[in-house]
Parts: sequence; structure tokens; C-alpha cells
Amino acid sequence: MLAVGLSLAFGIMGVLNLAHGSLAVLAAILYKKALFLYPFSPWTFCALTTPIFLGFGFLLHLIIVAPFRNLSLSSSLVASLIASLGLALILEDLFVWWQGWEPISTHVTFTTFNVWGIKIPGLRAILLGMAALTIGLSTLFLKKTDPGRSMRALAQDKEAASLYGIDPDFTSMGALGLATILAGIAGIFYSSLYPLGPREGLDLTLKALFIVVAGGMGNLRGPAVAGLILGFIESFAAILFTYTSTDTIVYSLLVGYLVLKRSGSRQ
Amino acid sequence: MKIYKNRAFFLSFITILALVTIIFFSKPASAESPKEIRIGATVSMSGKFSTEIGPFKNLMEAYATAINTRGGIYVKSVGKRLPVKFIVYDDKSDGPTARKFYERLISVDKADILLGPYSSPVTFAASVAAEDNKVPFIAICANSEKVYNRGFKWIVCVIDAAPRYTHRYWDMIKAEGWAKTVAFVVEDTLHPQGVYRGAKKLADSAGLKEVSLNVLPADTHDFTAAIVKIQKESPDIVFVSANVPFSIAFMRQARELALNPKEFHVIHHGGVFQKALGAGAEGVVGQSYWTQGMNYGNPELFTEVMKRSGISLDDFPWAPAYMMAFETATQAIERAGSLDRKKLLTTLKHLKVMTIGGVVSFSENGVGTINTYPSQIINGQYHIIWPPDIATAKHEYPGSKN
Amino acid sequence: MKHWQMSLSIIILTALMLSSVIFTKGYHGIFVFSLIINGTMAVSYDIPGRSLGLISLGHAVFFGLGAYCFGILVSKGLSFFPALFLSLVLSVVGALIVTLLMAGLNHGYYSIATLGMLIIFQRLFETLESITGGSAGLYIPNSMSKLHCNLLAAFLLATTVACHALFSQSRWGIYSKETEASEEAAEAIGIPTRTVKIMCLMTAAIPACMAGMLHLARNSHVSPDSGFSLTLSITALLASRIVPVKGILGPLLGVLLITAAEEIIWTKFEGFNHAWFGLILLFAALYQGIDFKRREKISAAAEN
Repeated sequence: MLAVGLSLAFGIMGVLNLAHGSLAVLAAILYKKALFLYPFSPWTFCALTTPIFLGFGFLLHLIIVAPFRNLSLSSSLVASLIASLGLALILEDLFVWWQGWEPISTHVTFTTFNVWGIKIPGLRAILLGMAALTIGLSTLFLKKTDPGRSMRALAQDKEAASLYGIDPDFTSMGALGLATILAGIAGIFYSSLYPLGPREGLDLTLKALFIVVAGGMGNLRGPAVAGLILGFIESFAAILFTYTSTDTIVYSLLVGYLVLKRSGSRQ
Repeated sequence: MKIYKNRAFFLSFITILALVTIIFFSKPASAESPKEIRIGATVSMSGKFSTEIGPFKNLMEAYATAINTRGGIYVKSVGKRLPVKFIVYDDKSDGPTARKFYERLISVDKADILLGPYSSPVTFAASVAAEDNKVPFIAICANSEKVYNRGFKWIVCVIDAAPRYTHRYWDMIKAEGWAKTVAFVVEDTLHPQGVYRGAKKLADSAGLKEVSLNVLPADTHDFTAAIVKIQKESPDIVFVSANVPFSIAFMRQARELALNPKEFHVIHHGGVFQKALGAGAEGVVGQSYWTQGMNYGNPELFTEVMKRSGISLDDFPWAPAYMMAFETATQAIERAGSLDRKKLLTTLKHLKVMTIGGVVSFSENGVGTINTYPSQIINGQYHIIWPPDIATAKHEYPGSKN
Repeated sequence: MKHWQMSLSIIILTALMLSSVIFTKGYHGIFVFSLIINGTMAVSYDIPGRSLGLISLGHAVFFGLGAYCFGILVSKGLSFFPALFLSLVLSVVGALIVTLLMAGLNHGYYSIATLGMLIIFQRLFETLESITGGSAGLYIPNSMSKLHCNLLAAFLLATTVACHALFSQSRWGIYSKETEASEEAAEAIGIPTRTVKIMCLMTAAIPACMAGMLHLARNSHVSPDSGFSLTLSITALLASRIVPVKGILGPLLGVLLITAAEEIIWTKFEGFNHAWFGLILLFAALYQGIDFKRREKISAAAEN
């Protein structure tokens, strides 16, 4: 989920948003605070906070995209990286000040479904379904709606898209808004499964970056599929080899794939 | 052209001014006739250990306030009581950063004595500064043997070495006699590895057979393979040697996949663990340094310090280890009667002091004597369950109520 | 590079070299040494960063390789200079392998692949405990005096600066610029772009390897976290780009600014340290965007 949102930002705007994971942490904190008021389910809270995160996305655009739009590709990448890193560091301290040092953990349930003798953890299954639904809806949005098509056009060729009358600023703002919504949803789901430290935003972003590049930038299905495949590889590597070699194997495969897939291309 | 020149000169001026500020305004503190006792330390207020130790600067300041309201510490060579001042920096959970700040604490802040950072890896790097500059260094939550096997003379540690971390738990298991097999799940970092190595031997001495060993990286999220392996062996005890985030993730998945040994032992099972797991934490045994009802040392002072700092003991169950380090430093200074570093070290090495966790003394290589007690989460509360003379509840295990 | 930029760079280098002799012990000694090592990392980072537009998130791979090769050889009983020489050879071979793998990538893919390499090395060195000491790392007692370490580090920085200047003036520097502008066009006119990339990346890798060796010699300890450190890579990137001045002056000023800002914030401010540092980064980045627009307006006005 996190990787899918990052893919949009990276693919469409060429922006490496290191504050992406911090937005997921923000969502988790908001969810935790909201649970004191009312026992929202994760999916209800996601629906309620979608407009808020859309707004955050627009705000983010003003900080890490708009100021650098006219710089060269390399310079805008670096400038947006530095700006988003600065923002991530500011948010880290604000999160600790607001919510304290302890990790954020929002749901505790161990319900398990038994399907043909296979134990499927209930909450994980539901969240997986919700994630698939969200990605499906987002893919439909990109394919079937005008704003979505504009985003795809911008990702393919910025200049040509402008010639066709697509406003790059407005479109990229929308893309970042969508990416931020996805980050928020990812944060709410993540904190339902694992404790999320207030300073873990950067770590989350970096993990998501790999999946983005493996799956291809600028589309939604690629990172989603890549994430699933990586998850399988991790699990099987743990069974076939040892857990301690899992990371080495996974990252070696990823880097190897990148080198083989991308060498010879000019991207 | 002029704009470029002006901007570059302006930037150069700013940076050089900043550097000059650091170098010339980091003047060493005066070393004549001490007006206060300076205790230097770093705390991981950011980085991977921040969720476990982040607010502990408050704990240090609370202790200083508590001691200073009681008049401070008597230093015979000065002939009066001196107030205590903690000088604390954020080491970002990073060894080289910690090392750099300990150098600063020594050469700029002129700390009289140093308290170690959190965790063995950071202490491993930071203690080099103390050894190079010959300043007494009291390590706290750093019990990996690797830290103390380098032949360093200026380091001591309040707590016992990692292999003995759970010895009381295995004493209890041996006395009770119900468990025959154990499966180990180990986080692949210094402290958990050290604890596991000792636990393996202690389990063996208690008559248990190791049926499964799973060593996993610190940031593992999917434990399916390990849990499936363990389920096949049906051990009596599943022993998780790991830091808190790992333990939470493992226990959650264990509960989801219905891994049901007779007992889970999770070495760090504090309040954060319990909050993350809710009813899933019930019955889990772990290790605690202290609980209400233990009457060693000055528990009232500890309660006052904890209250003043705003830190919850359940959420940060290693706070007592820090209190023991404070008490040790205080006693070392009082008994040495001087802030001379050599005298402080000599006093430390021969010290035997009662603290809230029991008697603290040090072996030849600096390792201390404080060990944890097995504690169990019973009806949402933490209870020490062994040894019987300080236990606050009985150990609940299958067959225990018969 | 303009004369005043050259003069300023020489002044800064001279000041650093003098500081390395004056401040050898204690906190100031470590501070000056870190400044010089970070400077080496930033200047070496800038070589492919500026010439080829490649943003690496794994520059610390070379640093870690150098540190560990040196540490392993010293812990096996080799004395300082033989260990230094041999570890340089070994780490350069390692760096060459990494560079050969990475040379085919560009832009975002290069950034992510370098990050992946960094994590691979971190995990690998954590796993090979019998050789590398595992997650605890390697501890080697002081193998050289602090003064000599500082002097070697200062000499390394000066050499790296010279390499940077020479590379950008050389044929390879010009080829790099052409490759950055358009790799296809560069190949069409006969520039061996892959060779250019490898040359450029190795020119950056070698000083980074040596910086790692000297870091271990001075500080006596390296671990997978500190050797293959993402923070170190990002610091090199920030230092190289945060000051919008081209040539070697940019990274030199950048490293002074970043290091000075960090030290002041972490030693003088009570709390919100990351937020203050983040604000500086944010303003520095926004300044670049605003400054670019201002320069565009000025040149548009000049044309009119």
C-alpha cells in the first residue's frame, strides 16, 4: 500500500518523497487518538480521513514539488529529496511531542479463520482484502476517470501531456493527494498489525522504495504485485535457508533484477 | 556575477562563523574547586532505541532534583555537599555519535563520572572514549559479554552478564519440574544472542531439551516459518530472546496461528508489550528488575523519582536498572570522598552497595551482580514469581492450581 | 572554476589541515577528524553526482568496505601500513565489482540499487560473525597516533579535492557531462559511456574506501550499522548539494554547514533537535527553488 502511493509520486512527478512513511505514522497516531473517542474500525476511519489526507497531499505538493518544478531532472530530484527529508525529520519530533515515545498499536484481535485446514489470521485477511480493494479502486480511478488518465499521461511524457492541455501542476497535486491517501490507509492498517514507532516514518519509506522500483514507477499494480512476490520470497527464503540470510537474499534478488532489467535502458 | 559572489561569501561567512562558535565556545568547563558533581551520559532520544529509552533524560533530571533537595552528595575532599548535575546528549542510537558525545562529556563538559548509553552495541563504541581518557564509566543496560572482554579497566556494569540474565527463571523451572522441552526464538542482535547462549546452558542444567532454535533478523515481520517449525515440536516452553518490537510482532502472530505451548517466556515483556497484545499477553512470563513490594535499598526514593520523571514503570521496566546505576555512582562518590577519577575507579571496583535491586558489586572485568527476576502477567498485572521470599504472586503454569 | 572560488576552497582546505594538527585529542579532535572524513565523502560523492547527475544512496558501501578490510587484516595480525595498503587493494576490487553492477543504471533506479547494495552489505556483515564480529562489529586497539590519523585524513581530503578538480577538467569530466546530458547522443558521437561511468564512479569510490580505513584507525571500532551507514550516505549527499555553488567549493561549504549545524543543534538546543535540523534542510532546499526562479527572471529580463 505504501509502495503503491510512493510509486505514484515517484513515477508522475519524479519526486522522491522521504516524508511518505511519516504520513503513514501520522495516520496511525490520528487513528489511535480517535479510538479514545469512538471504537472506529480501520476501514471506517480510512473512509472518514480520506478528505483530510487529500488536503495533506495538496499541502505537501506546495512544499516538495511546486518550488522545484522548473529545475532539471537531477536537481529537482535532489531538492525534493532534501525538502522531504527535512519535513520527515520535523514530523518525527512533532509526533514524539504529541503522542509520546511509545509505539502506536491500535488493534488487538487474534480471530483466525480455518479454511480447509489452513489457519488464516482474521484481521490480516480483512486488511489484505481492504488493501486489494483500495488498489483496485485506485487503478480504476487511474484508468477510467479523466484526472486519472491525466496522471498517467503526465507520468509517460510531461511535455506531450502539457501540449494536450493537461495542467501539470494541478494533475501532480492530485497525484500527490492520492498518494497521501494511500499512505494514510497504509498507516492505519499497519498500526492494526504491528507496533509503529513515532520515529519509524523514514524506515517505512525506504522499505517501500524497493518495492516501487521492482514493480515499476508510475503504476499501481506493479508495486502491489512486486510486494506480494517479495513477501513470498521472504517467507520461502526463511524456510529454505535461514531467517538471517533472508534479507540478503531478497535484496540481492531485487538489485540483481534492477541491474538486469534496467541496464541497457536509458532509465 | 555579483549575486553569485555575494551569496557564496555570505554562505562561507555563516559556516565559518558556525564552526568558530563550536570550536571556541565549546570551551572546557572550569576544573578548579568543583561547585557541582557532573555526571555525563547519553540517551537514545532518536533512532531505533528511542521507543525504549527516549524519555530517560527526565529520569536523570528527576534523580538529580531528588538528591539536590536532600542537600546533594557529600564529597570529603571539598568538605561539603555538592549538587548533582546530569549532562545528557542524544546519541541517536548510534555508536560513533555516542563515542563523540562521550569525548565531549569528558574534554569539554569535564564530567566526573559517566553513565553508559542504552544497549550493548552503542555501549561497545561509547566505552572506548572512557577507556582512552581514563574516566570511570558505569554501563547500565548493556550486558553483552563482548563489551567486557576487551580488557578495559575503566568500565563497570550494574547488571550481570547476558548469559545469566534469566538464571532465576531456570532455577524456578528446575524446582517446579513440569517442563521438559524448550524452543528458542532469538533476535539476531547482541543482547538477545547473549541471553540465549546463557539460557540454553541453564535450560540444559534444568533438565530441558532444546527442540527448536530460530534465529531471526531484528526487523522480521513474518514468523510463519518459525512458528510452523515450533508447532511441529510441541515444546513446553517457547523462549523468546528479543527486544520489544520483535517480541510483539512474534507473539501477535503466534496467537493468530494458535501456537500454544504450556508457557511463553519473553525476556522483555513490559507495558508496551502488554498494550500491543491485550489479552494475548496474559500469562506470559518475562524478566523484571523490580516491582512494588520489593524492599531492597530505598524504594521510596525510587518511587519519588519515577513520579517526578513522569515515566511509567510498566512501560519502561528497565528504569530500575538506571536507578541502581544512579545509586552506585552516588555511593562511589561518597565513599571515594573525592572526584578524582582514579580514586573513583578504585572505589567502584571494590564497591559493595545495596540498591533497590539488591547488592551491586563488580567482578574483575567489570560485570555487575544485578539480575532480573521472572515476572508473570497475571490478570493484567505484573508479578514477581520467584524466588519465593520476594515473589508477589505464585507462578501460574499448567497444573499449578492442582 | 572561478579564481575566488579556488582561493576560498584553498583557504578552507588549509584551515582544515591546520586544525587537524592543532586539534588532535578529545572532542575537538574527533570533531575536526569527522569534519575531514565527511568532507572527503562529500567531495568524492560530488564527482559522479555533479558530472553524471547520479544520486547515490549507498556511497557508504565503499566507506564500509574500506573500514572492514582494514579492520579484518589488522585483527589477523598485520601491522598498520601493510594492512592499509592491502585493504586499499581489496576494497578497490570490491568497489569495482559494485561499480560494474551499478554502472548500467540511471536516475531513480541507480539511487534505489545503491540503497539495496548498502543494505545487502549491512546484512551480510552482520551474518558473517566469525570474520566481521557480527552486529557488535570489530574493535581494534589504536593502531596509529591521533595526530598521524588526522594528518593522513587531511592529506586524503586534499587529494580528493585535487582528483575532483582534475576529473572535471579532464577529458573524462567532459565525457561525463555529455553522458549526463544525453547518453544516447554521447554514444552516437563515440563516447564510451559505460567506461566513463565506471571511471567516474571509481574516482569517487577510492577516496571513500580510504576514508573508511582512516575512520577505523582513529576510532578503533566499526560495526555494520556505522560502516554501511545510510546516515553517512545521506550526509554526503546533503553536503554535496545543499550549498548551491558549483565546483569543489559547494561540497566543502556544504560539509562545514551540515556538520556545524548538527553540532550546534545537538549540543546547544534542548529538544526538537531533528525538527531544527529538518527546518534547515527544508529552507536550504526551498532556497534552491526560489533562487532558480529569481535567476530565470533576471536572465529573462536581461534578454529583454
